[in-house]
Parts: sequence; structure tokens; C-alpha cells
Amino acid sequence: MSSILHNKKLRQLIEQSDARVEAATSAADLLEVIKQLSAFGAPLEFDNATPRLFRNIGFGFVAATVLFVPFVVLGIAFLLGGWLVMDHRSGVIDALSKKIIHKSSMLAYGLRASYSPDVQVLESLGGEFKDFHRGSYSRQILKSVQGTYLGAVHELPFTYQHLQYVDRESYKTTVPDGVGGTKVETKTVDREFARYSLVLDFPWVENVVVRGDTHVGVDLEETLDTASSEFNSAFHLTGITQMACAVFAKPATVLHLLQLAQQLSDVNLEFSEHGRLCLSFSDAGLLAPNATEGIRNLPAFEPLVETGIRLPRLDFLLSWVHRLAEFHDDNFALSPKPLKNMEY
Amino acid sequence: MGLLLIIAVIVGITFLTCYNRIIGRHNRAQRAWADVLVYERQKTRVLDLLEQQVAGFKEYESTLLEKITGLRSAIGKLPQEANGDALQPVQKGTRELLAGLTVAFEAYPELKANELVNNFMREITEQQENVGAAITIFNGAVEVFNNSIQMFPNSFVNGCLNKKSVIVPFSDSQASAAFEYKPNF
Repeated sequence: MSSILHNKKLRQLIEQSDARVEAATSAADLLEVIKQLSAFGAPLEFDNATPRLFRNIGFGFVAATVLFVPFVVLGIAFLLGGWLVMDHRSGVIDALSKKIIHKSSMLAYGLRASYSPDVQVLESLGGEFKDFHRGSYSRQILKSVQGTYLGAVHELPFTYQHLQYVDRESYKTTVPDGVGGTKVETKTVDREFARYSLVLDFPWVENVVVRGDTHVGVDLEETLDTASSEFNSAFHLTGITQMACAVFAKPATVLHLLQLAQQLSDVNLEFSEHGRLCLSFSDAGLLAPNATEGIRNLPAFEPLVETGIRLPRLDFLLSWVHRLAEFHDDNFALSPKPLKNMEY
Repeated sequence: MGLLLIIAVIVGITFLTCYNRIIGRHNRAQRAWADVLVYERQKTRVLDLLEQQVAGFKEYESTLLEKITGLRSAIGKLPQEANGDALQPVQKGTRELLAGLTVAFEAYPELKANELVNNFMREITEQQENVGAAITIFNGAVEVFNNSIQMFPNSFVNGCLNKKSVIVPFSDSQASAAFEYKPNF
């Protein structure tokens, strides 16, 4: 197969596969895509002989600039051209791998994603949780993912949100006025930051806040220091009454929270009066997959897709929340039932 | 004269700070110990209820009831003053009871099938988990307190004013006996 024909067929195959991954609704669909890729009969790599030749000529021209200056422009053009073509081709293959990995993990966990959800969702969440009262200039949900964790004792429907906040600060500064004097000007600085939150039904605890960051707005009226100095320096525990805090801060819960603080940064847990929990933090990558292989290594990639690509950080966090639920549920509720469906 | 006055004020503030720090850390260790006692005693309430359930199963009544009574008695003897050594018989009794319950569960399927007994098992396991966590927190508080009375200048202030003694942390002699390695301290 000639180089041009091979590259053309590979490009067509990737475009077809991309469309099929987009439309996939099960792991079987993804495996069909992988089978189609396997049936290609040649390595899933573009034949870069021509651009590589361009790049080498480019190097040659650049080297020749010592002798003849106009070669510089020509050399740089060949060099960049060759490099850009190879980079683009490599990117196309990596993008398809990432898309399959993303889709596989979403299907494995039964997750449903939505981008830029309705503004009313954020208003509704803000009405229940003060943790969303951030960003003096703007706040926005960039991505929302819904799913259900099937624990040994409880089913926990959850919503994961990626939020973007902007704090706007104004300050006065003195600047030259252009005629030898100075004048006072007001300057505005925007500080953009991201937070990630998991919202889920948690009917076993109400009106308690465990704050691990500096957002004091979430604190409730009464404060309680625990017997653990380590916990007191990592978190600030408040509740609607001291009794609510004391009932919550069981020794096992205290150690469990310290374990969470080692895994996530700036963690806040806000238990609302409606029996729901907002667990927020500043670390990205909760939905980062653990797949190291891609379509460049189909024999190793296929079993991963078949079993479903895992999201280890999401696994950790959901099992952590389930354990917390076990600490606070009623052991004499004879048959634990699934919780109500999440409204958002 | 002025310099001497400044030095006297600095020394006085240092003494006061060290004195208060030792008191605060001693109180925190006492509170952590109180948490251990609270959760141990909560466990006895669950044991009372478990005892009633197990009593219905005549076959294993004698051995399990004996263990429950022994554990309750050991918990009742825990001192109010923080002392990790005093916990050893309680932890040993808990281990024996849980092991006994597990054996009974395996041997008698009707006991295992009893949902209420299962719930008591979950409850007692959770209480034991809280006791374990309370002991970990207690040992942490003891370490901070012991450091505060053994390190200079707190050791000097403690010798002059507080006169507090080192608190014995809890250590599981049965677990450490299982290790071949013995740390040289």
C-alpha cells in the first residue's frame, strides 16, 4: 500500500471510529470499534515519510544558513511544516483513544454528563448550600455528571459538578498624569478559580459543617473542638447546636475525615437541613481514568474497554462517603432502602 | 534597671505560656480518655441488649454470656484518670467476645439468620471501631502532652509549677507479642 493511500485509509478509519464512539451506548459498541481498528491490517500509525523528509530538508536548510541566508526562511518553513503535519496526525490518534476511554468509563459507571447546565440549578444549589456562595463577580457550572453508587449497604445517587468562580477586586493606585504630576486610578483584578463538588442525599446527618478551607461563610452558629489536635488544625467543625456537632464527631468519623484530608485539598462537607451533603474540594481529576494504554496498543487496550475503564479517584471518594454513611446510619433499620432520586 | 525589667517580663510571659500549654494539653488528653470511656460504656449498653437476644439461643448461652459478663465487668473497672494500660483487659475481652460470636455464627445458621442479632453485631462492631479510633486519638493527645512536659523549657516549668506526670499511652501487648521485631526503646 502506498504511503498516500495508507494515510488516506487510516484517516477515514479514524473518522468513522470517532463517529461510532460518539454514538456508542454500551461497552459492546466500543468493542466493535476496537475490532474494526484491529481489522485495519496495518499499524495504526500514519506513514510520516514525506513530512519527515520535509523536516530533514528543513534541518539541512537551517544548517546551510551559515552559507546562504535566504535558506533560513525556506528551512524554517520546511521544518515547521513537517513538524506540524506529524503533530496533527499524532493528535488525531490520541484524541480517538481519549474519547474511547472517556466513553468507556462513563458507561462502566452509568454516568450521564451535561455541560453548562441551567443557571437555575446553581441558584437552587446555592439556596441549600452556602458552599456555592463563592465568586463575587460570577459563578458557573461548567460540567455536571450524575450517577449512582451501589454500595454494600446503601445506594447513593450523586451529582458531581465542576464549577468556575470569579472574584473581582478593585483597588486604587497612583499613576503619572502625563503633565508631570500624578493621579489616582481605580484598577480591577479578576481572580478565577475552580471548585469541584459532590452533592448527594445523606439523611443521617443534618445542620453540620466541616470546613477545611478558608470559606468561613459556610460556618454555622456553634463551634466544637474535638479531642484530636490533628483534626482541629485540619478542619473547623460547626453546627446548628453543639449537640449536633458532638453526635457527628464520633472518633471513627474524625479519623475518617483525616484520611480524606490526606487525599483532597480544601475539603468542605456541608450537611444541609434537608438531609443532603455537599462535599467540595479544589482538586481536579476526580474523573481521571487509570488507563495507560490506547489504540496504539490494541491487544492491551481491548480488555480494559471490555471490563470498563475505572476512575480510581471517584471510586475512592464514593466508597469514602459510603463508609461515612455506615458510621451514621441506623444499624437497626432492618432493610436499608435506596434513597430518593436526586433532583439535580 | 529597664533591661532587667524587660527580661523579667519576657521570662514571666514564657512561664505563663508554658504553664497554660501544659494545662491545655493535659486537659485534652483527659478529654480523649473520657471519649474512650464513653464509647466503651456505650458498648456495654449494646452488650446488655445482645445478651437478651443470645439468651434466647440456649445452646450457646453459657459461653457467650460468660464472655459478655466478663467484658462488662472489665469496662466497669476502667479508671477516670487517663491510663492506657488499664484498657488492655477490655480490649482482650472485646476480642474474645467478637471471636466467640463469629464462631457461634458459623456453627449455628439459625443464629446467623437472626436479623436482630446481625444488627447487634453491626452495632457492636461499629462501637468497637469508635473505641479503636478514640484510642488512636487518645494516644495522639498523650504524645503531645508527654512531649510538652518532657521538652525544654516546658520540662522546667512543669518541674517548678505544674508537676504533671507522663501519661501511659495504650499499647496492645497481645498484638506486639505477635511481632518478632522488637524496637529498641
